[in-house]
Amino acid sequence: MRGRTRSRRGPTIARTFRIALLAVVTGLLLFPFYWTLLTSLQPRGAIYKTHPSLLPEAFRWQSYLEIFQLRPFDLWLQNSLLIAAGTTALSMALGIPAAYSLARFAYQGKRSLGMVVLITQMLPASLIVVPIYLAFLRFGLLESKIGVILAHASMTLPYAIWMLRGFFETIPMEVLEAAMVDGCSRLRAMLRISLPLAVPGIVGAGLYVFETSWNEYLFARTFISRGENMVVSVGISTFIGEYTVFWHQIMAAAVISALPAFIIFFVFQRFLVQGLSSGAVKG
Amino acid sequence: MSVPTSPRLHANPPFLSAARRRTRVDFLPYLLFLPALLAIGAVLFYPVVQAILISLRAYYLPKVATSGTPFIGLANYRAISEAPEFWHALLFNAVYTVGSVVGLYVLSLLVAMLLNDEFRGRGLFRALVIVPWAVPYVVAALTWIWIFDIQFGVLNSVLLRTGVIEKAVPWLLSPNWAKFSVILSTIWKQFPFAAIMLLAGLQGIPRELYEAADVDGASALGRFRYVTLPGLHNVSLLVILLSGIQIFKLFTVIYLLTAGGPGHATETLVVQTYLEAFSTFDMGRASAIGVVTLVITLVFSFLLIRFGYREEAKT
Amino acid sequence: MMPRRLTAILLVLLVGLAIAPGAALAAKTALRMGTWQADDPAFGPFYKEAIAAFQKANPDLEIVLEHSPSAAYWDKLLTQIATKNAPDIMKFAGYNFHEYVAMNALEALDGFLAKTDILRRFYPVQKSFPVVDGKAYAVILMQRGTAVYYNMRMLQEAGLAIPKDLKQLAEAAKKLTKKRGAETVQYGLGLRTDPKHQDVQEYTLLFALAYGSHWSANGKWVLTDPKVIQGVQFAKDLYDAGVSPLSAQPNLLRELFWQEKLAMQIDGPWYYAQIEKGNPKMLKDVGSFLLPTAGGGGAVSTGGPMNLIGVSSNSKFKAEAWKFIEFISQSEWQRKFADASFNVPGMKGALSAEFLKANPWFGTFQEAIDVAEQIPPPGFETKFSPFRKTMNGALGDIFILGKPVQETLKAAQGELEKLATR
Repeated sequence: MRGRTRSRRGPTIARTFRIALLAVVTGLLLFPFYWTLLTSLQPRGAIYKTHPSLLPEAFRWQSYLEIFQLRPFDLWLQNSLLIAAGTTALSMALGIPAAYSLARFAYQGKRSLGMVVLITQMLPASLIVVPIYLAFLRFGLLESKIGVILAHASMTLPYAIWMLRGFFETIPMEVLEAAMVDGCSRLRAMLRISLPLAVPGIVGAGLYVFETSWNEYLFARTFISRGENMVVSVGISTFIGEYTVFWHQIMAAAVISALPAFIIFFVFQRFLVQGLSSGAVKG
Repeated sequence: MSVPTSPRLHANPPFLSAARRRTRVDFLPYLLFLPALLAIGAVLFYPVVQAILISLRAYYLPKVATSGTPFIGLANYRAISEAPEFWHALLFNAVYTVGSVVGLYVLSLLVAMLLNDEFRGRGLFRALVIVPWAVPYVVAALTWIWIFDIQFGVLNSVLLRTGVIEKAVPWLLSPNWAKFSVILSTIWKQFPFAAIMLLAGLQGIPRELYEAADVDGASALGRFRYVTLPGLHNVSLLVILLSGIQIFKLFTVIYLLTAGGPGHATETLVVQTYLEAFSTFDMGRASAIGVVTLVITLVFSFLLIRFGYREEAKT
Repeated sequence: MMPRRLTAILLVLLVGLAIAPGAALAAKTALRMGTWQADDPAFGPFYKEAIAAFQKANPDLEIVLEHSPSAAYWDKLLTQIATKNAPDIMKFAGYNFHEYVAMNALEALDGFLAKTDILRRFYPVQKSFPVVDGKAYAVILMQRGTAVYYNMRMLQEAGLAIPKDLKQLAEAAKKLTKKRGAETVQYGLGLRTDPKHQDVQEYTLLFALAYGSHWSANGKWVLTDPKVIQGVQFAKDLYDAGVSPLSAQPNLLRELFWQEKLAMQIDGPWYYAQIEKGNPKMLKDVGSFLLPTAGGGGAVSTGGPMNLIGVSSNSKFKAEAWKFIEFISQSEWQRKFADASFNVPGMKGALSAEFLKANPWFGTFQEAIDVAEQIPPPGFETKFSPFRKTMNGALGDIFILGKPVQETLKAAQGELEKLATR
């Protein structure tokens, strides 16, 4: 049996220590986000202090309302969600077969194909944005969510493929061979056996794609200018005015923009660590 | 169901190597790969080719109207190789990537191992760990700039008040501190992805191996060395490869924090590419730096995969 | 005998084809306009109103606003220019004007201008109209002139008069800096020194100008000229004396001033709206004066056109795009611009008499426009962007890292001289 979490291993003291350590580490890691939250609650004049207080001194919630009033923030959230979901769907639909191909087959040019997709990621984004803009211009893909989805998918597919490949490779051969003995075709073996076993990998890759698309800034801002398609990552920077930075608003927007991704992750994280379904392979 | 009819079954991997057994080519693996290849190629093929071609031309925007974009061969490459900033950026890029990847890996491993425990509320912790990654780059950068501010930043404030330092540290304003700060922020922003992957990898280590180690009387450290680390070998490689590629060309963090400054101290190749294109308007030279970036990344990836990858041990 | 469904389809197609040309005639011409100010509390409403009024007056034209956040706008515009997809109506900053002209991004407007009286009503040609090789490539949206805002109450309390030369300025700045223990509770003079922010060289230029020199002269870089060195050294000495927050960004200084923690702030007319929004009560204490020359007896300012509007050379609707520019150049709209944003538009005398009466100190900014020197170094306008990066880097080294002024400027000059070879 594989991969169950190591529960009740070792003495309770050691475990308590580990949990305490986790709490401390998490706390430290989240401090910058805590700081963002704190700043979003400050009134406007209180930001610049040489020794800022570590604890909240004010609870000015209005910033959270203001951002929705001052900007179509809900529209941005919606657009970001649609684009991220679209990118995830596309990347998974195309990436899973490709990864499976790399993991479970041996054929000419396999290694090269794997490298080729990765090579496309090695050029700086700032360089390729102009030619892509030109191509999108010619094909009418500017100012559209589809264009951004396509661009994001091209950015995330290679990573998704490599991640998924890694997970597909951990599925023991015996499982698939057993299925083949039972008369499964190769495709059916892939769909009915391998996929369910690779759920942690698929969820992981899917979350990666979602997050990357959600946060992506350069392509989104270059390909979209009209208000109706604006996304969160670009829209937030509109709080950085030409002459002033509206700190408390931008931090409030920051907190809100992190929420959807966090919630989705929270919902899906249990699939990440689910072990293989029991009884799949004997000992 | 009785006798296996498929002639393509072997006991040894790769189990579906049709090419050896049959005379005609097996199309299935190619077909599986094709849609992804098309999608990526449709968007990126033209830009990649364009970038390479432009790097061989003189493409200085303010002069294009009058002199066009003549072919100049490797002149752009020669020009950048003669610029000290280029070599400096190359060196810092290496330092930045190695520093960030190592820091990120150690941190992720620690967090993944801590998260591997079973306890109530671990779902919440697992989700919390994702937060640095969930925050948009612009926001993360602003927050860090704020925290690192020499006069009003909380980091200096805390360090001064607790007496750890006597004078405010110019986190983003002195060349060496800026390099450190940029690496720190990158680790913070990028580690969740690695932690998740390593966690999933830890899940994949068969329990029997740990039990066997216990039976043999291994200590916690022994278990770590002989079961955990080897079990994570391929996942670790994957993590290092993917985050390495990402970080090598990571632009947003550095650009938003220091814009490559102070001076040229935190300029990496991608930052230089951007500045050449959007500040100096020299597309030719920018493309040349971009191609160099691609070649370097390619060589390292190739080496890493070639010498690091191990076939997964089968039970 | 055709199947019924097919007939229906053909009928629809025929009808469609019949209507289509008519529809095309009735369709509006869409003019794209780029902006980074759609969300700005001052400019946003003005453009909204102007566009609505323009569309009403020209029913066959429609303006589609393409908005990008301020930081992102410039890269995007460059991408659009490079791919010949720039918006029909181009709004942009004065700094980059010469660069865009060199890239052939703008259409010459002399033909259009000749039919209007804009040249007569707007600021004088030589000083402000973006003219290159005798052709006008844009119309001014907003003028700039920098001067020193000061807190009258603070100066009075310290018994100081308005500084008449740089020495007095330095004394005032130091006297107005108050500390409580290790922490500074009041700063004397705001100096922009964050090397990441584009303003550094622009505002330090003021001090070089006060000593009598720009960064370049007669087609050559003169960073090692004693006047320039003195100017930079002056700013540096003040910085070292602690009169300004360390590595200050403009936002910080602006907030501090209206929070009444900063006595003097060098800025442009646009700052007024911020004070009003941040702390309207202090407006009565706000005064202004022009930065004096080093030895006194004169004043310096930096300025020139801040925002410009033009027609992109790749536009397919140049005449129509010009119509909008002509529209907002009318006196009525110029005055509306001034009222809405408290900024000086292209037209002379646009600010209302009532406003000036209520805010007498604003007059300084009008004067500033007349004395203002252009910001891009003369003779090197087409290299402004790379120049700015190098110069800001050098100044950052001087202010923050404490590198010696003369050497650093010399090194910067070396780098700048290499730019010419591109």
